Amino acid sequence: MTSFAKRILMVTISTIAVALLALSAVLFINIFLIDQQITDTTETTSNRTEDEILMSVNYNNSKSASKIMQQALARMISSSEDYLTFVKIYASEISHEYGTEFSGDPIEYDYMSYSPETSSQTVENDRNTFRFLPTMFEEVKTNLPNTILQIAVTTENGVMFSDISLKGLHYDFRQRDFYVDVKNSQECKSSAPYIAYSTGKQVLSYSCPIYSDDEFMGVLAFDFLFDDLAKTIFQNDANLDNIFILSEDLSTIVPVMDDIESYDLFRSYDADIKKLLADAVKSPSVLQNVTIGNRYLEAAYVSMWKMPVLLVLEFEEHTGVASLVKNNMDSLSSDLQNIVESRLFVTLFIFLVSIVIVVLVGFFITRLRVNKLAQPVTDLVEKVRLIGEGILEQDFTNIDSNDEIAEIAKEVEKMANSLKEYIYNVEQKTSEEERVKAELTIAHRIQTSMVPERFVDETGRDISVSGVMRPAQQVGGDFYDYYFLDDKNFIITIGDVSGKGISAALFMALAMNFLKYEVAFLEKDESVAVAMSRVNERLAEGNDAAMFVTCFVAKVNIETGEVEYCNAGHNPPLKISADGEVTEISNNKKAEFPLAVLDNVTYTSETFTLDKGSGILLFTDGVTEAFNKEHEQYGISRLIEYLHNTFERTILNPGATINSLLSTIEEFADGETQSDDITALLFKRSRDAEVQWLRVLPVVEKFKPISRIISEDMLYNGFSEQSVSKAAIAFEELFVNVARYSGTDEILVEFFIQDDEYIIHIIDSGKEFNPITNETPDITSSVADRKIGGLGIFMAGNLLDEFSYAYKDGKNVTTLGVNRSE
Amino acid sequence: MTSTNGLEITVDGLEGGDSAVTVMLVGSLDTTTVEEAQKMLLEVLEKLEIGDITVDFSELTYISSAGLRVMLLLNKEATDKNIKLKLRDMRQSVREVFDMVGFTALFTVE
Repeated sequence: MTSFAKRILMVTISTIAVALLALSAVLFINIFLIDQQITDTTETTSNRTEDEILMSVNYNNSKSASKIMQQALARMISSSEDYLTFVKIYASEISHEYGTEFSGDPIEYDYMSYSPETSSQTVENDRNTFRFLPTMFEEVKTNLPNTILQIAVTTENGVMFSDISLKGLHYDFRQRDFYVDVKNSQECKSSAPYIAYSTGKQVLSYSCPIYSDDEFMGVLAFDFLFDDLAKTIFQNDANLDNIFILSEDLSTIVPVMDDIESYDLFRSYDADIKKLLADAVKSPSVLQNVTIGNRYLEAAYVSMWKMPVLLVLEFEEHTGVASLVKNNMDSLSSDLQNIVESRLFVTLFIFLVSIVIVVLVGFFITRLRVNKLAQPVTDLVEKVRLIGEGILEQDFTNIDSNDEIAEIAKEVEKMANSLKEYIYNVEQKTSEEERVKAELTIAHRIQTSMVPERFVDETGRDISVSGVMRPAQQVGGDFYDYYFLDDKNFIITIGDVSGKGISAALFMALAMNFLKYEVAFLEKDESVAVAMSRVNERLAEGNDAAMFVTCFVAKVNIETGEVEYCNAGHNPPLKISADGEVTEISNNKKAEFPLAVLDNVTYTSETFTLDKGSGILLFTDGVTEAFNKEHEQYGISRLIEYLHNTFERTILNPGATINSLLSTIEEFADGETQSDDITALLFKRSRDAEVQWLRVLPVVEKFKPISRIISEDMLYNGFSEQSVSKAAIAFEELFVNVARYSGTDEILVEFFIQDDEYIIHIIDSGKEFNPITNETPDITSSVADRKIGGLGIFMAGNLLDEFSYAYKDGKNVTTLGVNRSE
Repeated sequence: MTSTNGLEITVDGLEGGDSAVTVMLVGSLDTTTVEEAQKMLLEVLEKLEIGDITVDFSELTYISSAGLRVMLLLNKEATDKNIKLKLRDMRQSVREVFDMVGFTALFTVE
């Protein structure tokens, strides 16, 4: 190696060594500084958190808030006194320290005002006497910066001197209230705020008399901007989030915090705020408060600088110690981040400078263009920073490097791209989910409105029908339908589409409407099976999704009770006979495919007769396949048993039966999620005379269940609550009477509607007894001599529209009647 | 429906030794519930030396003659003990029963 080369090597090595040393020192100092700052910040935050927790605790005791209000008021009063004292001092200084001996230039004419009546001699005299004023004005402004608006001296001769230009003003200020007040009282005064002629702003004025050897010479007045005063008093209060000072009519005077718009408060349409302000005005000096969300406001109607104002303080409510600690920890972490970032930047900067120096030296020594290495790093840093700000579109092709930097650049580019994709996906997914949710809600409403509501044949009361559809999800694949085909034929139908959710719902809508259409257009001699075949063709055609629907349709002749039905793969409906027997209505001829499975299927119909007082329950497998927590199914046998046990009520009131069936299933499931759509429809043919009866033992308490059944039946048949109540009371009285005194073995209760009257027979085989002959109690007698007894029968007679008694075949028959119309 | 419920009775003010006791009747005062009601109301009356009893009827949906008898009995006992009995906030249907049998004139109904 040549010595030149050695020297180059030595210089290079020493340069690098020096640079490394410098670099280490810089890094060390920076690390030390970072550590120091982190310690300080952590300590400050910790202390602050402690303080704030204490404050929050106090605040939550809701005592410190009103304490702040009290402090605010005290400060207002003391500041008012301070300013007055200030003016007083100057007034006395004018009287004593300054005097005619003072040498200096008198005030300029532009700063004087006097009425035209004042003689020029007098004006000159006063101007000379008060020649010290310009100097005094300067001094006052130095001592009282910011807040002072105007200083003025008005002499007993009618001349006014001011520190602001009064050019062109010829006004006798001796007439003004402040002057007259101060002169008469010989005391210092503060005025209520008024609008200053010179500025148009709200001004408070403090005035004091000036004496020379006990002789009244005039008045010294200081004007302050109300806004400035209020701000000076309150702006340093860290406990407050906002203060408003409002005049009585709620037009604002000043919001104390600069960055808050004053009309925030009084323009508020919030009824709570309006009430707060109104309450405060109503009760002077009484503190009112209100909490609205996280705002806590206190208001009091107080005297402020002699003016009645509303003082409103606002605190942001601390939601609790936990959130407070969290907020402070958040701010701590961002503080620490800032420290680290700023220090790192310095470090990086020095590092880069050092590198540049090394590179420059190296350039001169070795002519290597090391700085080329630094550029891609800077570029990359800038791009990463921009990515961090959310600008993900970065061009990485100009990172001119072929080492790790290039690799990092590649990785960063990948990262930016994945971020872009991720953000896009998140946005898409969120809006998609919202949209689907909203649409499903609408779909649910549409589907629910597709099936008919509760139905009562008002005209003849020959039939009655009620249905319910409860999808497992928002929408389902079940449906039911019922309607009059013509005067004497009534259609009932139920269906269940394979699958659940939206696809099933779409198919359900299609099937239901096809069916309605095809049934409506049947020829006279065509059976419902023909309609079923046609619907099958329509559905099977183009059924790419390979869906299918099980379906049961029946046409009931409401006069003869003849039922013609066709069952396309649906679970057999149940027939409930008048005597309580429950049987499946199965296909006797052949089993049929569900609709849409195969085309060219010819469906066949079958018939049976439904007697009066009998009913049919159509249902989907959601009813029988409801699961409980033990994974047991509700099952067909439980359903049959339920219908058998309640058959009297079933025939009485399909609506109530459907509802109680649903409750029974819910009870069985015991909170287990509904896995399938539940749909059921109950159709009944009414009994001829509709005489219903119940036979019970002569036990007093039995009146209650019977009364309940009768009441339900009355309400169902459109009797008013009032009629029901009358019948219930009368029934209780008579039933209890019979149960107690007749000595019968059992009581038979018959009930039915006859010519718009609800009739109840109470029949017993006890001893002969006519309740109606029982004497009328004297209801006008006083309470003391009133006999207890006979009251019930009297009440029954009063409540009932029909009340009669007969004894025949060894039986007492009491008839109770209540009219429908009241 | 009017007679489907049982009856719940709550008594307010007796424990604190107040002289003003409020009894709240919730549900149906009929043949099946009247025994319990009578027992409870007379018990209240027994514990009370002076003052008055207010019976809140606002949640009573049904009253039959059996219920009226209990009220009548309570009124008699109260009068004997010189305790004032007041009935408050009757529903329309219950009020009609009271009116029908002339009880409105016998009681202080508010």
